[in-house]
Amino acid sequence: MTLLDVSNLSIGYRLRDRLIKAVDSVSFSLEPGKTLGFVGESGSGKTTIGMSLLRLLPENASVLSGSIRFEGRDVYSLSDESLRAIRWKKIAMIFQAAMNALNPVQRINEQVAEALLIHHPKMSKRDALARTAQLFESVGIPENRHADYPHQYSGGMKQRAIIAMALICQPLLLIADEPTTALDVIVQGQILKVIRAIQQEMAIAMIFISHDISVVADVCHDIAVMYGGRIIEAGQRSEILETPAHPYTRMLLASNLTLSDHSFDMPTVHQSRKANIRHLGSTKENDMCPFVCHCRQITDHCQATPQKWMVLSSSHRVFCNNIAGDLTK
Amino acid sequence: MNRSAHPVVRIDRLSKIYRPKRTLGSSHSSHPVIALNQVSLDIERGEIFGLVGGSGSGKTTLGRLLVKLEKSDGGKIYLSENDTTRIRGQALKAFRAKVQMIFQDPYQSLNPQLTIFDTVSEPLIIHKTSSRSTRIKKVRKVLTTVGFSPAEDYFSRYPHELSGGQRQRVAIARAIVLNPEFIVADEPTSMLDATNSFQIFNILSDLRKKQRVTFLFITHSLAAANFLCDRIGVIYHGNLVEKGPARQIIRHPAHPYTKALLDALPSYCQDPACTFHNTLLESPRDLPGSSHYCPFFTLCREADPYQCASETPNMIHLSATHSAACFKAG
Repeated sequence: MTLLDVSNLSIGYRLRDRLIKAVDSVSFSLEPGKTLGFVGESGSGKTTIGMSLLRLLPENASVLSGSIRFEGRDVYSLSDESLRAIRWKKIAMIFQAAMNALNPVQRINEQVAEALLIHHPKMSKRDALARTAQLFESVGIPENRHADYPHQYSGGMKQRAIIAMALICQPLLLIADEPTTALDVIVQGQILKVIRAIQQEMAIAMIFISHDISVVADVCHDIAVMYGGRIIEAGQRSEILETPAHPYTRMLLASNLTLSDHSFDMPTVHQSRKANIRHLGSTKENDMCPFVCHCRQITDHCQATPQKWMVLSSSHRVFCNNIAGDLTK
Repeated sequence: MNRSAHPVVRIDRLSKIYRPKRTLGSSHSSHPVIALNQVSLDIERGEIFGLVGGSGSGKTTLGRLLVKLEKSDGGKIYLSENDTTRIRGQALKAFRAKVQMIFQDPYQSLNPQLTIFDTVSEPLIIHKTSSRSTRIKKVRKVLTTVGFSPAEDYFSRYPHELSGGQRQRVAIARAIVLNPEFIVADEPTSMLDATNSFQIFNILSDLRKKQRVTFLFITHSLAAANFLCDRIGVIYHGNLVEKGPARQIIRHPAHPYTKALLDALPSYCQDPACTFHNTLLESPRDLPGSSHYCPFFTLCREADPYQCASETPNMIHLSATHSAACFKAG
């Protein structure tokens, strides 16, 4: 059965005088044990999607349309009680910069065990600490450091503890929002290795959010590329990396430097940024291309007509009706 | 040492030590931190030299010493063969016109109360180089160089009206308006999205090609350094551990730390022609008891338990241009 099914989700933020659509008609689904990566630039709506899955959107945000179904149940019509049964127990999250939010006056293993005790009130503290120690082992925290305080940990160690905390209730779905940003290069490599190993070992489903497509490609089976609140292309890792169809995906891949790259002329990014924020109200522009202001292969048709999803394979789809013929280049 | 006749910048055994301030109630001993340990290198005219290292490796400290935002604790800095280590007063002011810096975070490095025109023309006013009409011309020219067109449209804007990539381009314009000889670019793209970063790289590359500006480019990414730089220096815990031509370092790394940096790149960024080196220990080993040892000893899988724990390796020349501080190199 599909673990998570998001259909036609739109989320808006209310500002003083207007409503800004941060997520626009987003649909995707996730099978148990699979990993889906969201990649896009800042402000493209990736984190808003992540937060909405746990119903953690800020006060001024609201779901405008669409649904989020987890194990067949609509997350936004659950009672507070049943929501609590899902949060952390079935869906856990590694928040952006969470390692800076550890409690400085509590030992790390106790903080992590606390998450378990809250959801299993009958469990003894000893058992909870034993389970924590097990998990610390698998994320690579040495035994003599389990009972340290956060200030005694390096950034990489803190992030390992945060990963352990997210996994402590054995969730079915883990949402990881930029889990390696702000870490040292070498530490980033180590943390990605831990995440890959844990994901396979525990067969946990994962949504991985990052601005860095090479990091997403390292961890995820499937990749969804976001731009201006929309998914503009989605497919299996190999389809996105080897046969990218959307001009934005191509630009993103071309700007991602690899060890084989050397200075060459870059694909030009056009300057105007006005269409990034689209106002609600004129509903007609709903299915217009979000990338229209920056696209290099734009035609009159792109600006005048709504876009439709083009299906390229059973898993690969692109929100652009003007894709070039040969995708392998 | 293969040194070009006239390097723009030459540093000779440069060191920096941060000593903890004694404050009331600091009971346990805090040790001085050696941020830079006798680093020597030359940067030649018109080249982009990449300084690569992880967090806390001392790369930003080196950049700040070179532009004289901090004082060194040993060693010498030469600009065009003039000793600038201890200059003051007018000489320092003249130095500042020749050496500029682009900072990491364009959200903090621009004054929010100054318009783009005022930001970029401020160095011209400070150094009293031109009349107002020439200033306008110069500002227009550098803003165009960094990709604002038409430049006048941006004159009266404020930083908060610009995106991160645009702000960083303003910071570059401010750095080049005095036609400096040498610019330190300290991770100029770490706060930017991939497409914006790419644009910044191309601007720097263009400045080097067209105006022969010399750069020290500080980064944590060997992929970025490989893309942009002629030569690369790899720094670990304040020690320069390897230097050489960019391609040479990527294809034939000699130091285990350089190899670990290459391994740490996501597989999509790897060069298919490169192998996985596996030089990093899963968990660090203990520091040796002696006072001399290789700085990478605790994390190096290939370390010799005797030699690497009892001696500090010096730079070994592997070729005329490539050297590494490792007993096992070569």
